[in-house]
Amino acid sequence: MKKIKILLLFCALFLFVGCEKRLFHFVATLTESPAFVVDQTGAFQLTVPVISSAIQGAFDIPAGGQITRVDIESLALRATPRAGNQATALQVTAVLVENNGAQQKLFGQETFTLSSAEAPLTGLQTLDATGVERLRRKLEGYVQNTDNQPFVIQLTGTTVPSGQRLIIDLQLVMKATAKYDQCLEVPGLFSGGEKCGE
Amino acid sequence: MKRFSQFMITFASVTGMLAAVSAQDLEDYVSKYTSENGAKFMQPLADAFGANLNSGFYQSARLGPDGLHVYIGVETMVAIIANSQKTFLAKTEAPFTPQQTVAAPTIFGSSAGAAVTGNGGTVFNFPGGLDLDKLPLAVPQLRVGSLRGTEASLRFIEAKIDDNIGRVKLFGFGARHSLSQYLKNSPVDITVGFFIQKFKVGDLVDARSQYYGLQSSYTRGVLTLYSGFGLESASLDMAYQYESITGTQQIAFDLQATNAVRLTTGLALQLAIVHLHVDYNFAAQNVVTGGLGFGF
Repeated sequence: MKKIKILLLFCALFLFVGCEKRLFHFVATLTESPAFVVDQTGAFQLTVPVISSAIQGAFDIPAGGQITRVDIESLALRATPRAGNQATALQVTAVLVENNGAQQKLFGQETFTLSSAEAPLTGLQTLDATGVERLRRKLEGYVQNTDNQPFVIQLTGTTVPSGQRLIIDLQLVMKATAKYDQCLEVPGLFSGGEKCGE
Repeated sequence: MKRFSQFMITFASVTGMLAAVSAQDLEDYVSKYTSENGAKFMQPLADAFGANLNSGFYQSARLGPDGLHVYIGVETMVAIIANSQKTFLAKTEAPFTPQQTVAAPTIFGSSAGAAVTGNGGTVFNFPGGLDLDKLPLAVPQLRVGSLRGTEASLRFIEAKIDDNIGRVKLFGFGARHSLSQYLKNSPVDITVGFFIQKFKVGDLVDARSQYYGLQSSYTRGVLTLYSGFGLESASLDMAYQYESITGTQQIAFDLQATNAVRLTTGLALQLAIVHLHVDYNFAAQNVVTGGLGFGF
């Protein structure tokens, strides 16, 4: 109701030009950052389940928003040693595993030095373009309601050299953006955007 | 972050950028910008809003003789957005790699946005702007005079938006003094004056402006030609909380408007108690002003 009042008030001020609907392009950002504690000797494997409802909720596209594309902005890892950790370096790789069992490499061997208590968030350098595209299509399918099959990101790691005691906090950060269009009411005199196609 | 979005709705409505938008829309405009990019994205808004605030103080340099003279009216200012204010050089933000620089829209720029491609087919999307050529502002104004060739001016708006955002307040005051009263044979009227304003939206926005200037006018019948030279400054400080992957961050933009000097030229029409005027302000940020009021 308040929005309508503001609209009417503003339109009244510029009655001589009226209001009209214009198309605007927005970018919504999603950040998923699951975190794990790894406490073991030797290789480890972790899984990050991804479901459509969680992705839709995280993007929070407003009603009336027409999603045009989803992009993967970045994948990053942060490995922070805990007390008792003896490993000096870590290698991690990841695959995307779909509900039907199909697998696609997401990134290759990424090596992290475990020397700082305040580990930086490191953008991954070995991203696999096919895997990223598969991830992108899955998320796009979720927000466009054309795909609701869950998948998992499977992280596999080991210490370098192998066999060391590993006690770390491991965080995977995935950022994605959804571009969407929405028609909004604006005063005619001041709008320079595109006309809505409705 | 939601609170900032609500503020943006208010601010957009007050300034006329958008008449009605959802909180999510505006959050999506600003959520990509949390650092250096954010200040550059918002800078043209500070320039235009500050220039608007510093406009429309006068429509003549003729001040009435001693006695009660009152004028009340609405001033409408429209900042003209230049093409150079529609893009800025934006940098991609970590952890996107590799870092790249691209021309991206400002808040007034193209709604289409910009995008760059990084490692493994990742894409960094810069949001589009509102695609505006003009930024309007309308404020009520009261002038009361005159005592020994001096009049006082006042601008005031206050409204509570909601408990979350708080109150929107605009308060401004100023004074002008006639110099031509000391120059008995002056063919034109001359005044000198100042105007100081403060605009607040809760604790999210704090804008301030100052104007000092010299005005002159020539009146023939119901028409008055007027002009002015002014020195001005304005600031627009914004602060909000942003939920990021590292937790809640306090984001603050302290923006200084670019306008420092302006020249004004305009035409006013007075029919009985009805006053109409329009003027153009030449400055780094140009502004067209129009006013309608009643006075005696």
